[in-house]
Amino acid sequence: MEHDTTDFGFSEVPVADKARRVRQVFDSVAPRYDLMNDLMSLGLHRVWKRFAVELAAVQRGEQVLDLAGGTGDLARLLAPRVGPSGRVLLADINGAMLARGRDRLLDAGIAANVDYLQVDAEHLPFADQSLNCVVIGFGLRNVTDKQAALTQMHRVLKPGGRALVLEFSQPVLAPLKPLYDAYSFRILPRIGRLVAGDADSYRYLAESIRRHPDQDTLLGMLHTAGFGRCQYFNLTGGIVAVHRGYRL
Amino acid sequence: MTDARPNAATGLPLAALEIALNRLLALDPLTLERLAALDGRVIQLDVPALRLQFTFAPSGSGLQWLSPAPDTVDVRISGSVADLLRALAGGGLEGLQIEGDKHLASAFASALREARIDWPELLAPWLGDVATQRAAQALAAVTGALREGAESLLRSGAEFLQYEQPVLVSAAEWDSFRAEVRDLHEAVGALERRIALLALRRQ
Repeated sequence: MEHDTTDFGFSEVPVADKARRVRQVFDSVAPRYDLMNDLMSLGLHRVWKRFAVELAAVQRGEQVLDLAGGTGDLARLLAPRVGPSGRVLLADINGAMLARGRDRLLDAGIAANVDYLQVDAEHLPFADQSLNCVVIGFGLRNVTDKQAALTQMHRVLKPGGRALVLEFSQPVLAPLKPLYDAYSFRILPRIGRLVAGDADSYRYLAESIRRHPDQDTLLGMLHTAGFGRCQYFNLTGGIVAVHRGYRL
Repeated sequence: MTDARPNAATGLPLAALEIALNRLLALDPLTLERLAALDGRVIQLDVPALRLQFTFAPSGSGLQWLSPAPDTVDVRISGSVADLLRALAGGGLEGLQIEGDKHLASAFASALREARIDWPELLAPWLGDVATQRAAQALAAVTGALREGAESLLRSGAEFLQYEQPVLVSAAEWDSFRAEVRDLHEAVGALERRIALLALRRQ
């Protein structure tokens, strides 16, 4: 039987309503998104993203999809690696985030090998087996049907292509958990209110992290989507994890 | 083809090693092409003496470290560290135990052996083209001088140990001694057979 509700943070909302609510959150946070990322992660998100890009081992001439790419942090690291003969497709469902990403990349002088697409991760508008690599950084937890998105990622990859999922996960160090909870639910919304004037959106971000599948569950979902040689790497005690799977 | 077991995380030190290795391999597109031809296969290097086991899958983007290792692999190459290094340096696979696809083991070893890493390409973004070129030239000169010095030292040392302090024998003397031992061994064998024959006749 189909589920007619899904999670939105700690709330249950109609499936058809989640995308709209997520869009509202990101419309709200887009102008201060980068500043907030730095404040919230104490700058660590740059290290996490660089690690994911290094693991992707992208080569010159490859076609890479930066899914839910938002403000383009990953695309910015990927574009020099694929070189002028390759292509980075920066895709996001949210127009405001995508526009912000495009502006940032243009300001950084990156234009020749990046395309911008407003797409839904559950319905990727690419031919089967057309891309070398798909990365999704801090985006999967906002997708309504995560399994469908992973299946789409698998579909568009060429044989030998790889998918990388960088996402908040579950801390594996016990002493870290209470500190992390206190930070997420008490400090994070306050920072959101002070800097972005929007405590609710940042409360949603913290809640959505808790509702996101843990490392092993997500690994199982990658297998279900058809990926092989699946692995994950815990970063910062499991607060963040990078999952990697190959289309064999 | 198998998957990593879906219940354990891969350690960051191995990930760092994989990243470093793949950055080097990315400097030689020809090696990546050779590794791409082995895509989908799983190779295990085993050093029993040190209880070390490395399992990886080659692909067009380099090597993927598989940890935890899958239950089955396409080829397992076992031996000492020296034998493994010798194989990668061009010494062939002799002395190594190979279980599984020997052709895969040979193709993998030759892909890595023939890798030509473009070091200046790695350094250029940090040092600039001119400084990188000069550094590469200086490094080549130093490496050449060191190699020449090492060869000379080795030659002089061998001569000293052979002629000044007769601790070592020369290759020619050693070959001659081995030939004499072989002849003696064969003569003893013939004598044994002759004695056995005489003993048989006496009965």
